[in-house]
Amino acid sequence: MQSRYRKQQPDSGPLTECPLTHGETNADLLLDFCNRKLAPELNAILQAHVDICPPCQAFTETQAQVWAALDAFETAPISSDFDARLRARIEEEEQRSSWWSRLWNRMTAGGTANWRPMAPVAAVLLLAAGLSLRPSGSEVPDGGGPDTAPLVKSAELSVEIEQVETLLEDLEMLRELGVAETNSSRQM
Amino acid sequence: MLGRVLLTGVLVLAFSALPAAAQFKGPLAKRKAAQQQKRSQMVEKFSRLPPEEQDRMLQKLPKDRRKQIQNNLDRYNELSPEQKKRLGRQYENFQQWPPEKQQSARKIFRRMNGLEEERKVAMRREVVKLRNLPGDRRSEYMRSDSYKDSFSADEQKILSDLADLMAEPRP
Repeated sequence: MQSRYRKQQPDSGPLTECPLTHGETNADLLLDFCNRKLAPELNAILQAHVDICPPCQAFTETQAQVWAALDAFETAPISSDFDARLRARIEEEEQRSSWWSRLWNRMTAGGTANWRPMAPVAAVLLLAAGLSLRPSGSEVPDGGGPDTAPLVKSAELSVEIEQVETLLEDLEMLRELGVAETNSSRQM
Repeated sequence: MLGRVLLTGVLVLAFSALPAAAQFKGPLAKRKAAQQQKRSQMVEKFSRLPPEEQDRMLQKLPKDRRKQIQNNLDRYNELSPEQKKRLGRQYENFQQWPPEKQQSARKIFRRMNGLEEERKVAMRREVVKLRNLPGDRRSEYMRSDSYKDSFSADEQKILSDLADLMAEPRP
């Protein structure tokens, strides 16, 4: 910021333009002046200007009041048993959470254990192995047929009613039109 | 240390499962056939559900579709076990058709269902007759005056489309 100002104002020259009325850069410069962040020589130039410029004087005074107010602000003291109560609350929350969320938190929490990043990979591999080992449709006993249990629970019937609807329509069509009949099906 | 042991165990399990999994999967065609067989058994399963469970599933649909399903289901349940088996075979054949051809058959059937009941009966009878005729004799019959006098232009179109479906080589 100081360098930008120097481009506009030579180090040795007087400040000829009011920082408040000539651009954002110079306004930032005035803020830095208020915060005592400027280099001594630049600070002297700004001080010389502020002494003769009423708007800049008003601005710096307002800034001073804000800083004074912030300096005067004091946070409320915490109670002596704050730490103890905080720990008790954390333990209470942990007890309330389910076992798997506690496990998950322990697995995913930060730390130095080098196996933690592998936990999701292991979970995916286990899932893949489980799915692969599951028998495919041809090996699953169907449970259908006239000799099986008379009632099938709806949970086992993982079909949508729309599929049943389409199937019934197809069967009705085939029954009436017989368009898909072959010699083998006629033999029955 | 515990982590490494766990990770090694998981990897060994995963890799040892791969050949076994490949054996279980079998060829794609086998799985597809099994899916089709399962699908054809849906009606049996649905009809074995308790009535209240059937009602619960049917509640998802509008009234007219519920009624249509119930009618179709009743007609299916009236079939003898042998007729059901025969129909099941037909359905398996139908499943082998390309989707476009299946869709064409459904459209023809809907057009036929749009006819008056009396004409539907006559058309069904004609479909049976056409089905039993060999390809060349069928074409000859469909060019005859007696045939043309018996059916309207729309009806002839429906029958002609059906004959085309039946004439196509079966999969």
